[in-house]
Amino acid sequence: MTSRACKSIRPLLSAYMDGELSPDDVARLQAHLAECADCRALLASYERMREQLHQLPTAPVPPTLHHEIRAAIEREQRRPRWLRLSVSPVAFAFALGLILMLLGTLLYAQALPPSIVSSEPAANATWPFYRPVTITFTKPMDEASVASHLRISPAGERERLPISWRGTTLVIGASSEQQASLLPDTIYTIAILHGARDRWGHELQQDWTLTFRTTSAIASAPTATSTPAPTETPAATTPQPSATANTTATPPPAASTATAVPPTAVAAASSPAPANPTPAPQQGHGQSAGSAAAPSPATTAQPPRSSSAGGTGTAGNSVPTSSAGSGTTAPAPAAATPPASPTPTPLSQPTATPSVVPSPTAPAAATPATTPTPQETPAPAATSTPAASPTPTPQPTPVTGAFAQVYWGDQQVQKLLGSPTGLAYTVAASELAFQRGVMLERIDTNTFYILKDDGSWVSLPAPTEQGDPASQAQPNLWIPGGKYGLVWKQQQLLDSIGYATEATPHVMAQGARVQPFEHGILILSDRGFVYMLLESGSWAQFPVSGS
Amino acid sequence: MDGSVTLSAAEEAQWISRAKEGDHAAFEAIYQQYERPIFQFIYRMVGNPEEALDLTQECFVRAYRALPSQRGELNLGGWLRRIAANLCLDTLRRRNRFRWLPWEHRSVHERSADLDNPEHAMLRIELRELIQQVLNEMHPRHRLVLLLREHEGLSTTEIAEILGISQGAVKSLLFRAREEFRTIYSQKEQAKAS
Repeated sequence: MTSRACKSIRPLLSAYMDGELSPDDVARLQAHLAECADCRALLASYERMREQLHQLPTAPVPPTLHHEIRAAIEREQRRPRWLRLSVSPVAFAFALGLILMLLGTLLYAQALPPSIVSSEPAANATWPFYRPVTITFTKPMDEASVASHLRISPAGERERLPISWRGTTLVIGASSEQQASLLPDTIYTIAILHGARDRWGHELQQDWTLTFRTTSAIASAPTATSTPAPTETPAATTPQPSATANTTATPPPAASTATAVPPTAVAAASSPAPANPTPAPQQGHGQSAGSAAAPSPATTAQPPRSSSAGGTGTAGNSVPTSSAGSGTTAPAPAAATPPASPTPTPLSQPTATPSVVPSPTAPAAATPATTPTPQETPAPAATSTPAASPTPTPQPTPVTGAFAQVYWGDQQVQKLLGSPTGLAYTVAASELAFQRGVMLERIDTNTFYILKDDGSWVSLPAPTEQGDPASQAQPNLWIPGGKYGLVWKQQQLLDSIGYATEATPHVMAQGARVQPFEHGILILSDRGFVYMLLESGSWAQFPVSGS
Repeated sequence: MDGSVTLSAAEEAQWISRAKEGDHAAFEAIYQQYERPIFQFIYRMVGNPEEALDLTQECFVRAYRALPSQRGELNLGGWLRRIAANLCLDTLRRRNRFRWLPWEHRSVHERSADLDNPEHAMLRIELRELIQQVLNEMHPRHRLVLLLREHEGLSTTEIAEILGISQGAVKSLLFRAREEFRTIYSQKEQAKAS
């Protein structure tokens, strides 16, 4: 028989056995079978197979079958409904263990307070001004809470720089919508105050600060200038060369690298609060969008620095002498070393030794050493103070509010300031942030305070004339106008504190709070910082919450 | 207890709906009706009475769990066989080698008949042993489909339903199963002859 015909027929045999063939196929198959002995034999073997399978003996049913099934069903009925899963117990236990382990680690991690793992740049580094700053936390944070506990100096930067998050990393200077460069050749201090919460409500245990310097926009330009003068690192204990403090404008050559900005003596504050003049949009360059602010700097020639003594003073000078030596009072370690002292530590260690300075309490001593152009009535507050009687009666005068945070929260501060000599009061004031410092104007005493990042401060009588309006020197950097401008030019402050980082002074809508102490004065700016000015000629700033 | 119950289709539908609502007596009536055929079927598949007993229990426990979620009209016999078939295939898959135990048990009816003609009885036993060995060596899926067709007497449609495949696939499986059976069977016969 043709094997080809058989091949096509054989599959039909099986269906034929089952009665599943159409009448046509049945006819075709039967016709083939009539001729083909092989296929007939095959069909016969199929039929035999069926018969044999039919004849297989029925298996004896165990007599316990019914009872065993019933017992199994009853066991099933007793199991809790949610356990009636067709999952093997081993797999179930394994999955349960895994879930518990994950849950455990998660809960444990959640229960820990957050902290900061790292930052870019690291403390005291010199950082390309066009790169955003990143701060990485140990766990996911409550973004709003971190934002409200974030302080950035110079002032105005907190509002200008966009902030965004990448997981647990806070990015300052870039967001998905915009990017804004930092200010070139500027000392930045970024603080995250304790109390910033993670997503589960745990708070950062202590204040964290980061100080670094940005590179210059002009690659070759010598960076860092600062007053040669007072150089009092906050930590420095020595009886301040307050005398030098005034010399403000005579700069020794600058170290072009990282300057030592004692963590404490950070200048300019920035307020978390809005309500202050946005530096940006003004003056043409829309730096808010970051575009203008960006790395174009090179093109815009940086205004010549007043390079008096053939160079620029650096914070470096602040160090050597005074600080390193007499470390009596000040434990503050970093501060003493010249470059790069700042470390993420609470801003609180300035030491100072009493000396003649514009302390409010000591009005008589017309800011001796410190002020370059002293005379007048440099000593502000004291005289004008309403309530507080300048008599140094060590009576318990209350220190409250933001001042209490600073004063009572740090014994070092108490030691430096001595006892309060009067109650806190409010004065009309404004401030203007600079690249490496801040200027404050007190209207009540017609006094300007110049707070430099090298840790020194001086005060001057306010000029009587008005001065030119501000003009833009570079994107986001201004030559200050008005009285600020006059003082800035007169004192040649470009070398020490650089350009203003905002176009117009920030007028404190509610005024500034001031409280006099035996050895200094506290001033609360509404931008979220308390400035501590010591008679010794050094100063420090403290970020505060809820000012 | 030879108490297998035979339920009419209407009665069966009634028991099903009561069992779905949690009536234990109704479910007992159901397994009383099906426990024997299901045991037989499983026994044929796995060839081991102890294992068949365990699997039969498991089959009804699974049915008990799944019954409340069954929707529409339920072909109870087909559905139970489907559960049993999947159980058997799983079990056989887990066992690398399928061990078919020799058939030691014969029904009382068989035994009394054999008493009359011992020689004939011997031959029959030998033949059954051979057939069981053939089944033993077949691919489990082929064995399953062949047993469902030839031993359980199910139609192609019913088998398709139980296995969750098309009728065409069942026909094709049946053809291959028969061919496999025939091939192994003739090999065994030749081996015995030589």
